[in-house]
Amino acid sequence: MTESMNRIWGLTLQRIDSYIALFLPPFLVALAIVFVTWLLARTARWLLVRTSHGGRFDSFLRESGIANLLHRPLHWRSARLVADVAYAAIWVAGGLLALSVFDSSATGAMVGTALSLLPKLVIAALLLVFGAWLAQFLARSILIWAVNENVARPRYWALGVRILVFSLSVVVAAETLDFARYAIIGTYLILLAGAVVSLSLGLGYRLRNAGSDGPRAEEREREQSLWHHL
Amino acid sequence: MTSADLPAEAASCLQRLGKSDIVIGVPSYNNGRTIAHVVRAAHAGLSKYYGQYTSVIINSDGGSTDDTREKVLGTAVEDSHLLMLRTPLSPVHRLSLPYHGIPGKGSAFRLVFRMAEALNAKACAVIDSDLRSITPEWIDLLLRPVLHASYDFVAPYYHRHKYDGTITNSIVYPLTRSLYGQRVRQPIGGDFGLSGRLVRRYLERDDWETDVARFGIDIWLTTIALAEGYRVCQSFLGAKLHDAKDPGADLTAMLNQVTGSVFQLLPEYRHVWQSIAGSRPVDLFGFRYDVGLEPVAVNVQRMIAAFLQGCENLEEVWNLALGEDQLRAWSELGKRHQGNGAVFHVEDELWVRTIHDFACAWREHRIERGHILRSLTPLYLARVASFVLDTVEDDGPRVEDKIENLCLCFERLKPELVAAWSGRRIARGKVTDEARAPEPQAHVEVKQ
Repeated sequence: MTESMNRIWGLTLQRIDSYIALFLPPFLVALAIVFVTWLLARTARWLLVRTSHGGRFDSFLRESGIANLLHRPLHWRSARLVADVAYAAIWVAGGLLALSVFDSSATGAMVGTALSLLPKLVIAALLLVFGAWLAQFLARSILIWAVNENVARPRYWALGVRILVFSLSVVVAAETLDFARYAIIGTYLILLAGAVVSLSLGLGYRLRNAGSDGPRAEEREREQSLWHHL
Repeated sequence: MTSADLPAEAASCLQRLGKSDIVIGVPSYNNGRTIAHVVRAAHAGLSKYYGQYTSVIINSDGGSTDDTREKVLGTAVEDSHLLMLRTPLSPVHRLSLPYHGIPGKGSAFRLVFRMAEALNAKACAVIDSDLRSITPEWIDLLLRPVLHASYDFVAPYYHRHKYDGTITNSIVYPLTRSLYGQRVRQPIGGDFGLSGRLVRRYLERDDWETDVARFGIDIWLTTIALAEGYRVCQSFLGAKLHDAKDPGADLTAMLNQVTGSVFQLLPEYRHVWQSIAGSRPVDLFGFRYDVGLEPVAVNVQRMIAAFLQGCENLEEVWNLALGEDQLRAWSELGKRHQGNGAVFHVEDELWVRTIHDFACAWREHRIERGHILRSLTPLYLARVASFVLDTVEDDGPRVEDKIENLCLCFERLKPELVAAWSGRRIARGKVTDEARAPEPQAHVEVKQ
């Protein structure tokens, strides 16, 4: 009995030993890679923040509304954006390198998938950023127009436009990644159809009541003289 | 500029005419109802006062679908014998030409100016085609300072109803006066007299395809004349009465184009306006007299409602354009009025700082420039509503005093704009002292 337990214990220790012998060196190497990655990423970010000026890019971000999209409209610096992107990219590269050290089929597949998906991911991310910017721009245009034209519930109009445009960019991004293509397109089409039907009903209702708006329209016409006198 | 740059129809007219001392430009778009009177007045004015000069009236039309162009060419001056003591030496020619490019008053003027340059005109006047109060004397009053007193730019000076010309009274006049230091009372009046060399200067510029092509043209003409040191004066023309025009135009677009045009010229002339403090009067020609004015209907409640709608919905945009104090003040005004129906009043200082903030936001591109300008409309309506409520009982001179106070406020707070424009902030207490320090200067050099 004791002998048998000793044997099992020995085998277990031997197995642990072999596991350690097998995984410890790559783990240590991976740890070292992670440490170097961390060091590199922080250094790169620090250097980029301090050395980049990017005035033109700053003004592009400001003018395009992307800076505002990120809720840092007045204090935005492109150097920070570039540094953050570089920081994230170094971490991704370091992480993949660290995984590849283990040289197993699972990590290999993971790294392979990530590498093949990377360009598509970048394109999808850009599409989403562009979609978010366009949604913001159009939503703001609609908001200001609706307020100036005294259209009821301007924020809802703006929100509707924002959702429609941004979800279109999600659809296109999903298409790029071949991700749940039909489900997302289907959802978007339903959303779009709903918006069109609501708009048509609203417009029809408005036109039906247009007859009773006579005196107000007349009043507006009379008042226009004010605005035509610059 | 050669005739080759002109549309074919205009070029062939040029060949026929050869040369003209005076050019009168009348921009139009579906003004068949009023343009005959304007052309008759211009024709009679030229025949009566400038019979010894060669002259031409050019109608620059934006594709009217009514009989505007036919009226220009076909209108007869039946009672000319009542107006003239001597027979004019040269006949007054008339042309009606379609302009090309962006539809708008600015594009129409551009064609007139090109024609004036090609005809080597000594003087050019532009007049609105919807005027009902124009007389032949207007032509003399707009041209004489140019032809006989060497002025380059003659701005109109009218009597107007107290609620007429609210963009002029609340923004354009006070702002232009504080920026360029000269008191041109109707900088966007629409009827101007111009010298040949100023016309050439306008044509040299490359910003015709901006807001200048539309309603921004008037302030653009005035600002360039002031900022570049041309000799500027005003002529008293009496009352300005005109038809309701361009039903497609709306307030926001108009305000957007006018303020956009003012802001657009700020960076270019920053070295001019940043060094100016105070303002000085501008020579005024013509015999001043009182006239009856058409009342202007104003719906204050609707304007306040538009402002409150803006308060509810546009805070995210205003937050990017306005300074903290201004945003808070507007927001409190909205809440106060919504809460207990308190008296609606926009302080001059708040209004001036708001305009300054919008100018800086526009310059810094904090958001898309069109969004900045269009979001000004509810605030502008609030200011107009406040002005109307403040002046309900006031007669013309008292209203003029209030406008003068606003102008002085613009001048007093100008150092804040100068500082903000340069990316600096100055404490509010200091503004008064800094503004008082420099005396109004004769800062503008006359171009040779």
